[in-house]
Amino acid sequence: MEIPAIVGAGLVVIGVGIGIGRIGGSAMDAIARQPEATNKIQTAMLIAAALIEGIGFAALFAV
Amino acid sequence: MSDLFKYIVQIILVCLVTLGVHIMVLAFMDKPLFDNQIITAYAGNVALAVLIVMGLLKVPETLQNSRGFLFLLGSFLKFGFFFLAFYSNFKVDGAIQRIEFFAFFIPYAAALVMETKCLIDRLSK
Amino acid sequence: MVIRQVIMQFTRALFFLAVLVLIQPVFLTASEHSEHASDSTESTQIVYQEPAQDGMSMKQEIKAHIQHHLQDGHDFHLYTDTETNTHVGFPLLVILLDDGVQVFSSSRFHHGESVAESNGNFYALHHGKVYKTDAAGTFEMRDGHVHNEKPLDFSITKNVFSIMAFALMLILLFTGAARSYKKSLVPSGSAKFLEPLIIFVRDEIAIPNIGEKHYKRFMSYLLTVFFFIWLVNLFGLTPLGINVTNSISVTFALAVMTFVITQFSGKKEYWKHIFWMPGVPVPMKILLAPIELLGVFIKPFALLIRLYANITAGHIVLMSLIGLMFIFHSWIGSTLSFGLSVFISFIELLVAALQAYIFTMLTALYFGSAVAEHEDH
Repeated sequence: MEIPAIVGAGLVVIGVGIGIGRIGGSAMDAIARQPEATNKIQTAMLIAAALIEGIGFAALFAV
Repeated sequence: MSDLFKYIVQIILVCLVTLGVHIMVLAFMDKPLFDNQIITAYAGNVALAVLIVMGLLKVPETLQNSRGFLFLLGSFLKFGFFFLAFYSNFKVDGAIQRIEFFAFFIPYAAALVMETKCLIDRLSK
Repeated sequence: MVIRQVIMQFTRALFFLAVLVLIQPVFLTASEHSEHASDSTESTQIVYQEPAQDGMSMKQEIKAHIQHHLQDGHDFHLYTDTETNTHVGFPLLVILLDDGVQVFSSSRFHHGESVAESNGNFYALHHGKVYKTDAAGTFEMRDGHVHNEKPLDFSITKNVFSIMAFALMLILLFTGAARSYKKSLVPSGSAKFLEPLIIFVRDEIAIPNIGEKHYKRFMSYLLTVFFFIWLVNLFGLTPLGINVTNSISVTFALAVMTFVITQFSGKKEYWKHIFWMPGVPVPMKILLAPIELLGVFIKPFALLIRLYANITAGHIVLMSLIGLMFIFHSWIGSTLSFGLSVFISFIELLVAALQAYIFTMLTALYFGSAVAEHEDH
């Protein structure tokens, strides 16, 4: 039985979801611990999330 | 001048050795030896590599920082060379076979390694 | 006092945009509404009373509508009145490189319904693309694809027209802002709105990522990219049906510009970090060089895919939710999907700004890595 490529893309998207979720969660923790560094943390969070998101989109468009 | 000469000799030597190994492997596999423009591929890649190395060494003082950019431009030049001289001939039978691909890729890779070595030498100075 | 005025301006602009976004669902579906005006009285009572056959055709119609919206077009099409079969919009210039240059108005295609003739050559549209045909406009169809000859198309399409319009708009806005600073340092006119945004790009994006020393060289590009993407994304949410950033060629062009500027301003240190990473053992250096060289190309590629995919996904979700109104065809479902589409529209407002921010931010990051001097090593 052949597994369709879209299943692989789905797996990638699950991974991306977990990754971005972890980034968001960790950023929340960090902001709670150091509210004065909120701006820096948000910037770093957005960049990391965007980089991971790119992989997800690449997987979706490769199908 | 001696630096440039050294690099050119290195490139030609490496490419000759690669050509020898390439032909030997082809002979071992009972394939036609000088098919698929193999000589043109080697000669063209060596010529372009020499051109790029000359560019890297002779670049004016003001453009010293752009040597990497020059290297990338050289790679694009090689792609242009591939598309002009090889692509249509390789595509005659509808697809690029593995042997045709390697006939271009091996000299390309050999010349690329030598250029990279030259660039690294320059950057490390 | 100035800050208050800026906030006033900003809220006014936001209100204007929100109104535009709110109008969109009504506007986009105006053409489809007339068809079902006759049976809307009964259908308010019963949920899912649509017959299966009709429902299928409705779904296909919605799908076709979404695909039409996502495509670039040869005329600026606003909407179609299906009852009288009139198209509202205006034609654009078609420029083809085929037997010399063929220039004619896209009104000759009659929205893809007829064959256009120019200097003895015949052209017809198929899925928004121009093909060369005979006088009758026949397409050679083989395994689902058109095999007709495709002339080189340099037309002023909807996207090209929009890009030109936005470029003009940005030029007017920014020259106006620049002129106001010649009179006095207190901003007036469009400068009042633009100043905080420009300072944001400078202080939050350029300086932290590129560094005090080199950021000035890149400010013009960063500002252009930021405002262009933002404006285009925002106008993608208006009922005009403009969607420039969900054409992959536009984002590709933006990414190529970022790529070329990054490589060209790359300093010695940058290239050294690519080809001969300092501070790692030699076998690792050899292993890292091809990976880093590949990364040079993957970075702008990720940039172009991210922008393209985000905006396309947003448009598809929004249009699908609007389409759901006609599939539910009941006051509960349609109201819910209307509410949801309004909600998504507001999220898209955020995404429009966020994508512009991220594109500019990552561009600045790559520029920063190119000009970094690494004294700390």
